[in-house]
Amino acid sequence: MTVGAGQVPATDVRVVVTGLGMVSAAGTGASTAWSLVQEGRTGLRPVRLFDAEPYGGALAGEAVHLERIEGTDRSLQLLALAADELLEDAGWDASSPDPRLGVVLGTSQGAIEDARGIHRDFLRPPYPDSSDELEGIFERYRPGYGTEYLARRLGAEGPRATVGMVCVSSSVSIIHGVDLLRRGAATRVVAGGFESFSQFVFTGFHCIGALAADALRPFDDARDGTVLGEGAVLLAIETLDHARERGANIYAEVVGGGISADAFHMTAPDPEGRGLERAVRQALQDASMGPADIDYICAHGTGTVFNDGMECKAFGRIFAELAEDGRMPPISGLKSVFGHTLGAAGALDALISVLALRDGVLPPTVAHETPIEDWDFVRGQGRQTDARLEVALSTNSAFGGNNSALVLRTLPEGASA
Amino acid sequence: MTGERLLVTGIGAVTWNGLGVEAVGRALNGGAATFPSEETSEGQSVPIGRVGRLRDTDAASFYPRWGQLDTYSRYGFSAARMALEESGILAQEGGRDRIGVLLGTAFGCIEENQRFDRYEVEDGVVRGASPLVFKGTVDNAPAGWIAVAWKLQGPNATFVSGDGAALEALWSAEGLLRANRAEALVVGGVERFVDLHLRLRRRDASRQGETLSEGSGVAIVEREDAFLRRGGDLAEVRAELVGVARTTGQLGDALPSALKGLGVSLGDVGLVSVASPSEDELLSELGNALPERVELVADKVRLGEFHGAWGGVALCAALYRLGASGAGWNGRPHAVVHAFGEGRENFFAVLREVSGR
Repeated sequence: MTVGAGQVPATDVRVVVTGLGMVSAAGTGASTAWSLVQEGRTGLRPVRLFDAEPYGGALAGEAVHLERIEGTDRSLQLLALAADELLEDAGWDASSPDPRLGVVLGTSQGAIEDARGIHRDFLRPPYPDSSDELEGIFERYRPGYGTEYLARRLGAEGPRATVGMVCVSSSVSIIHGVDLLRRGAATRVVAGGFESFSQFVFTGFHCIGALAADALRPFDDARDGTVLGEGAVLLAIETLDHARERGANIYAEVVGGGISADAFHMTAPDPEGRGLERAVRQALQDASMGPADIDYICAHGTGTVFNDGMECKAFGRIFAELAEDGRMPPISGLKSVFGHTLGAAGALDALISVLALRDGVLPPTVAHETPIEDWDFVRGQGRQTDARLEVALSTNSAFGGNNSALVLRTLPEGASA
Repeated sequence: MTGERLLVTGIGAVTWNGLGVEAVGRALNGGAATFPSEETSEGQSVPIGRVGRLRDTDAASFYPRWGQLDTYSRYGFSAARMALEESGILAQEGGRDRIGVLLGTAFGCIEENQRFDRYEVEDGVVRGASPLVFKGTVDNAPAGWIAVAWKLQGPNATFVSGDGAALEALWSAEGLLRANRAEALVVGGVERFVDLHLRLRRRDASRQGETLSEGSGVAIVEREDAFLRRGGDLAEVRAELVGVARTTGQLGDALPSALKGLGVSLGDVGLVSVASPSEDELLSELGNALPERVELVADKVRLGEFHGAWGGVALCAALYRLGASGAGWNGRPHAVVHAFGEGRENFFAVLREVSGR
């Protein structure tokens, strides 16, 4: 099967979400995570993986319900569980290989925690002798290994791609997956991301002063940093035609995606949020929609002073007319529940947005008391709404100055299978 | 929908043989390369196409923060600098929100990860964790630095998709350009190797050359309408990018299928550059599928195994050959650059000589 072939992405190919899989600090299962969100509770707890006292103590969103298995890469453990749920939810059969099934995953550091031993052993000569065990660790450390692992597990013999863009990795993986479907490279794609909690990344965020002292407070005046989490989040996406043909349960449609660069600084966002604004406008254009079509914003909301301020600047310009009329779409930041899952963050936001659209419930931001803008930040518990809730915008930003935006919508009644 | 042609308007490369596409050409013309070797702890001699800590005086004089760039980022940055300068795209007035960067790599920022991982927790205190090193522990660092330095605000992405990563980036770039979501993109691959690679990589002789090579190969791919609007001269264009096809299956079946999908006749192809470590192996696998006079090359023999950067470097090699010949590739208008993707996938980038060059 040859694809690509100088084609323009076919915007008449519609792409829908037909299955979900998720492991996070909330537990195993998308519905478990969605329950925690709706109850307005947080999965953040004191760090368990290592002694965090030397760091001044801090929280993490670890999947504490899963024992760490010695000799097994944590990130693959998370991926396997999410994949099992996804297969069942999508009604997919992985028993026979499918050359039309693709896998696109995002991750920031993959199997970094397992690689720490070889980092240190191979820093300076004399080095230890090579061995199957060490070569195995190095092989799993390769950023694309998780994608290969999942493809084998799912019998996916179609396109495989991995996105390495830190906190936008998995939202860009969804956008790339949509591209594969629109251009005919696959009929089904598993898109998402994964990240295991690690001392390595924790130490990095600690040394740049980005960790919160006692809570992650997105869009709150008292916000002082982020909390790192872990998880694997997968979405089954396929062409609408294929989904209908097989009578699939359709959660939502992915109607638009956009990516951009701040081109401002490697680690600090453009304080004016111009890069994020470009990504959102590109996603809206891709969806043939305008700002007034957006009913809910699932923001990146890391809880850092700079990120949340930047996002508000961008939203303020994009939705200026609506804000002026007091019709700013409701906003929430889910990292207050799950922590910042880095390479899984974009897919996590997309997955929860999909469930919000399905149930007509706006997800709340936990630990949110003093909003930094006079907008509708959803607080407390999930808010059942009578207002229109058909289109969600999910945004993410990353080190390196990357931004991404996804537009998701419910299918009009009767459009589903 | 648009039928605009996509043009390659600049290229740049960083390899063990030096800076620039001419250095790639020297390696191609030199026959099988004799790579310098490094000793392992077991006393083995391992050949490697090493660039090392790159010094690029032009980049350093252009960009005040050059000293802050990790080595991996320097490779991509330096190749992008050459490509951007050749394209002349930066001379145009106006914003750069429709110019972006898409790169591929197989191993990314492993060197910086290893450097950062020297920290210790001793006596209840965290010591040796450097914020400056930490910012290099992201695979998208080269694409980020390129965007920051030249204020390229358009689409920006980094694929860490193994040996096909650079052509994965080119496949994605083609979609963005044809959908008019960008007017020009810096596209290619970057790879940096450390001792971990030399000691612990698993070798698959059927797909990888025996000699690792680090560096970068980058092209500027631009919509023709945008190029002409900025006063570009078609005579200075390197080539047209006909398209990127991705296929599964054996090469002998995949290549004809890819060309058919792109509407290109095998009879119009003068060069096929395949990501194989051996020309003998190539001939046995592909020879019968190709008509006579098609030059079949395995440039990894001469350039080394660049892993995720391969597609970018191979593209530069094919375009160097076109520039050197002055009359297509072996007198024919098309060339094919191949890379193995993950799993059973193949990528084929097809180039066409631009009439009027």
